[in-house]
Amino acid sequence: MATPLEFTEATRERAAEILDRYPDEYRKSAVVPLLHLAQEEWGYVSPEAMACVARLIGCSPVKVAEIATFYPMFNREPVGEHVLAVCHTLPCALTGCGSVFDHLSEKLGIGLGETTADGRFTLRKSECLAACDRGPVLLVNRRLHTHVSPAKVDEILAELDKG
Amino acid sequence: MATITIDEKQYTVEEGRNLIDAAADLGIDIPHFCYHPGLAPDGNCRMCLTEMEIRPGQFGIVTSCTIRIKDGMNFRFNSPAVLDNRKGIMEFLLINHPLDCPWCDQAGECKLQDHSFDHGRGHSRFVETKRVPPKKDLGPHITLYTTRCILCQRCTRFCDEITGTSELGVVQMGSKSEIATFEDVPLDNKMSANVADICPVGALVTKDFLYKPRIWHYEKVDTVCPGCATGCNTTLEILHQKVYRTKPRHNEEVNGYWMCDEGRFCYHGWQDVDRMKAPLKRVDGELAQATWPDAMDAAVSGIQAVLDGEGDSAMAVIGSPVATNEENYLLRRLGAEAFGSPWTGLDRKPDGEAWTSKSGFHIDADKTPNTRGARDMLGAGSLEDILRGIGDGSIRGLYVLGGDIGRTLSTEEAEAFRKLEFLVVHDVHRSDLAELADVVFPGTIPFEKNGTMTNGQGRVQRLNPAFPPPGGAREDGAILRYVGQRMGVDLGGTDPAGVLEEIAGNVEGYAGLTYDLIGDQGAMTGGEGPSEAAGG
Amino acid sequence: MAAPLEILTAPLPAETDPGDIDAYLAGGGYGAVRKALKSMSQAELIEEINASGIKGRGGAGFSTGMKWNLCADRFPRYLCANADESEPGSFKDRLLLESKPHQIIEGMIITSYALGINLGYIYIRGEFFQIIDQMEAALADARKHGFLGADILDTGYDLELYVHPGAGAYICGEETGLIESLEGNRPYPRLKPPYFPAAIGLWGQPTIVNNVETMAQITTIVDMGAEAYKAIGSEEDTTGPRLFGLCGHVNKPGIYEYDSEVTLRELIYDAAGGIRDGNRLKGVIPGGISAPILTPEEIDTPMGFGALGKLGSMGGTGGIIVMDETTSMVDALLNASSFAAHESCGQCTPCREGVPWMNDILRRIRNGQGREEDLDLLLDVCKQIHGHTVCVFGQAPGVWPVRTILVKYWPEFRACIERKELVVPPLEESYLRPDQYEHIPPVPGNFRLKTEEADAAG
Repeated sequence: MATPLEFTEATRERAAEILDRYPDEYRKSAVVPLLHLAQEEWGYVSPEAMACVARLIGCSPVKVAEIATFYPMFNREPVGEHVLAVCHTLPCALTGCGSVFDHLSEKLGIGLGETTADGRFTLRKSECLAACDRGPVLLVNRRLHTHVSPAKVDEILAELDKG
Repeated sequence: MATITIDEKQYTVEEGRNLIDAAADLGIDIPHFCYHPGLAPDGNCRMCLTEMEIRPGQFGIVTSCTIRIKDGMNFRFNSPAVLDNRKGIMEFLLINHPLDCPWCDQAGECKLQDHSFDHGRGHSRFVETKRVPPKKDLGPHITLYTTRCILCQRCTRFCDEITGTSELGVVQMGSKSEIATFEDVPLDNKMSANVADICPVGALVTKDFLYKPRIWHYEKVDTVCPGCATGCNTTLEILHQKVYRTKPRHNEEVNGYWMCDEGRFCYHGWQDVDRMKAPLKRVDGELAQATWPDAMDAAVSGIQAVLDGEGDSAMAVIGSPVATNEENYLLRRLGAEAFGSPWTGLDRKPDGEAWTSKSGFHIDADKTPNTRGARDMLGAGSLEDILRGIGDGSIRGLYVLGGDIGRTLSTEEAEAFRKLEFLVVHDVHRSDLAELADVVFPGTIPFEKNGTMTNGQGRVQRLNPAFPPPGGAREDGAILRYVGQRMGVDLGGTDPAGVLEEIAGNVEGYAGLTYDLIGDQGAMTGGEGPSEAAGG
Repeated sequence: MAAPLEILTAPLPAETDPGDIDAYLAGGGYGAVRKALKSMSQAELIEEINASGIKGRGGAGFSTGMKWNLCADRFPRYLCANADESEPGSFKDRLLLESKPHQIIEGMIITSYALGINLGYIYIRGEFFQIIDQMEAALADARKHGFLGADILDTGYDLELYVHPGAGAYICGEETGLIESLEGNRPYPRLKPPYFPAAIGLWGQPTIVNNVETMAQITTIVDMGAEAYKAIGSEEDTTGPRLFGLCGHVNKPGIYEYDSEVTLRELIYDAAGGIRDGNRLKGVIPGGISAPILTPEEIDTPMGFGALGKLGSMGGTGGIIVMDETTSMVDALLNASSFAAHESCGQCTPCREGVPWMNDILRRIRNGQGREEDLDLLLDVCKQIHGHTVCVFGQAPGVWPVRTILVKYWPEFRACIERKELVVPPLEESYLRPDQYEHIPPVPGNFRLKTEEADAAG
């Protein structure tokens, strides 16, 4: 394994705050929130990041890997600056998420799960995001866009380009 | 006790016992994969589903592995709902399972194979593509054939519950789930190879037993592990007078369902040693092969010369912690009756590392199997006493039960032994000790021994010979008896059961012990009854 | 025509930030907490919830009062509010989380007080980034105002509530999966028995897991009193207001609040403005993707748990997915099945192996490579999974959509197989009428279609 990773001082404080939410003998409860923290810090959850979380919790690293590899939200590989996730579950499928995905794929020149060569965009599909009345929906990083159409995709991408 | 009903027949079983185990006690097999009596029930494989009366007249599906017997419970083991489920589970487990039984090492002892034979549908309705996850090297002893895994998680639970080392986990999700280790943290603990025993399919295999002859070719012999003073109960699998595999044999009071890796694989050391197949005697300063009568003559005349020399008790005997109680007992008698010697010593090599698992499985620091028994048989003497006796010249001849292949002599010991006028040694190879001897008798390794040993907790356990000693090597008890006979002392019959009877009459703590009483689970010395369980 | 309600969906005053505790307090917020902690005993509160007749809003429709009564007499006890909304077609929790965070917190405080709980978590699905931020802030505000922490409102009662984020796994919505997730383990649902959360839950202690809407409704019950609450809806179908979310091919998708006597037809055609483009209805899933589908002839049913149960369907989460005549039911089922295959946690054999297998078969059918025997095989696989899994999720999204969409839209699947391509037959030829198939049984069992072809297929 590569060099061990450690959280920055600021993140360590947040980690301590998270650990405080659970009784001391059940530190492992913090594994998901800490993995979120790791992903914020490093963009994805590498084995080194898992080992870092395991050290904070005081458990075997494979027990963190069990969690990090289970949940789809944890990136196992580096991702683009912007992660675009098109909901593709039934209600969004009924309202045309297919054309949204296809349009994004064509505009960005990448397929499902791929990242653009410049490292700016990663394209994904997501399961139901619980905004079915406003579909198709598109999760861009932490922000949910609703009633998305190919035209709106262009607007969203333009906005992201502006930074 | 509780009375329960199974398929309209009544049975009496132990209250609180798990249904799978209770049924097994009755000779009824409830097929299962994830349940293992040494682990907490998990209920994930769903093979053991049976029907239980939940309300009067109303049956519901339950996992047998989690049901604890209570009086009045009513089960259906053979209803259509139960049988259909088994058929369904078998189909699900097989759709992604490779059809590689012809070269799978588990074939013949595979639960999937067995249950498929009993409950499978005989043809596949699966026309999709099977998952083919790659094979993984999990650690020094274990390989995972990922395609064969049915995700019962016995192995992960073993590492969590028994060793507490938690090297194994399930990674990924859903149908992509796989057993895995983490990066550079291999499955490497003192008990790792047990996961291959408990894997119900051919997914986890020991590298040691990979591509070996088919399991149905082996003769199985129950014995005790010679690796340490815990004395794990084992079964050896034998073919052509060779051990191919050692598996732990259940003994709740000693080792539970487990054994350590060192003990499991120690058969290689014993077996790979260059065995001595004929006696040796010193001729013109060099050890040379001799016939048994020649060697015996040399031994007896050498001993007689020491006895005839100055001093009252010039001969001493040293017993062995890798020899049986019976062998050590006969040695003491030989010393006392033929040599008229009060000197008995016990060879001891330095302690190794002790380790106790999370579940309480214990590996003893004493890396020999019978220190306690040998001491009981020989009395209080120590090796140090003997060395002192040699040093001050009161001991001039020595008769040593050797046979521990791991034993090397320290400089001081070697120096002391060189001072002896005459040294007779039983050994299995040309050890440091044998090289100093005047006569060497080729004896047996523990796998060839028939007798008892007493483990660290004081449990007397039986060893059964897996095969006869090679070439001209002989059972150590028979050698001792022959030497006695040549010196005019009758040490009695050759049957270890008979010797044990004698021990029971003469050795403190062994009263009442018989071969039958010891059986295959051992019996405690001192009439203390079962001691605290060391197994987990 | 049933009258829409505005209890849970009462609009906020214009320009109000839903997370703003001052605005919430100005509107009488935390009155229920004051009332409960200051003037009611724990026993009185539990009795009030029992008397209200509320059924949990998480999907199973289990009596909340009964769940509370089952809580083992051991302490500490814990509370988990389930905001892991991820059943496709369900979005009511998101609405409440976005618009009424403090009402949810109030419900959690009242519940905790009633059951002697001093530590609770609100498990919010990880993708709800903004909601998590808002809820964290709302909890901090509540703490600042003395509604959380030590000695709440000088009553001597202590309570801490925290947000626990999920990370995108549907199985965490199952109450024991949620508990395992909260413990930091793989969210494998636990065996029941013995692991009923009210007996052995979080960290082995008695735990109440309630849906967040249920939490918000607890506030409503205490606010309006059990008597008034009970007057809404019916005992059998559940009392109190219900949130119905309409999505798919309706003109006005959204959340609509009614009592549970409202009919599905009223919701589709009156509340949600009917089907888009004047199209005809083909099928409707009445309570999240797991709820068995209803055909056009079956929509004159009240939306109560009991009424839908009689039709072989279920109230579920109240998320209603409407599909018009242009919809391919093969595609729709493949989509539902892909979801289930993706979300199966993998713990137990039937769900891990069976659900993805069905997905493979359906994909083959959709791609024009279906075989004659595939439809019966699918029903057989359904039967092999149903009732044999550790948790209900193997069958809820795994089996129920397959066995109901397949049986009811049998002719469309047959057409797909016969013509070796995806076809959407005319509406009349795409589905069976209720008298053409047997009532969908609630227990494991195969279906016998009352059609000749089904007889021939055995």
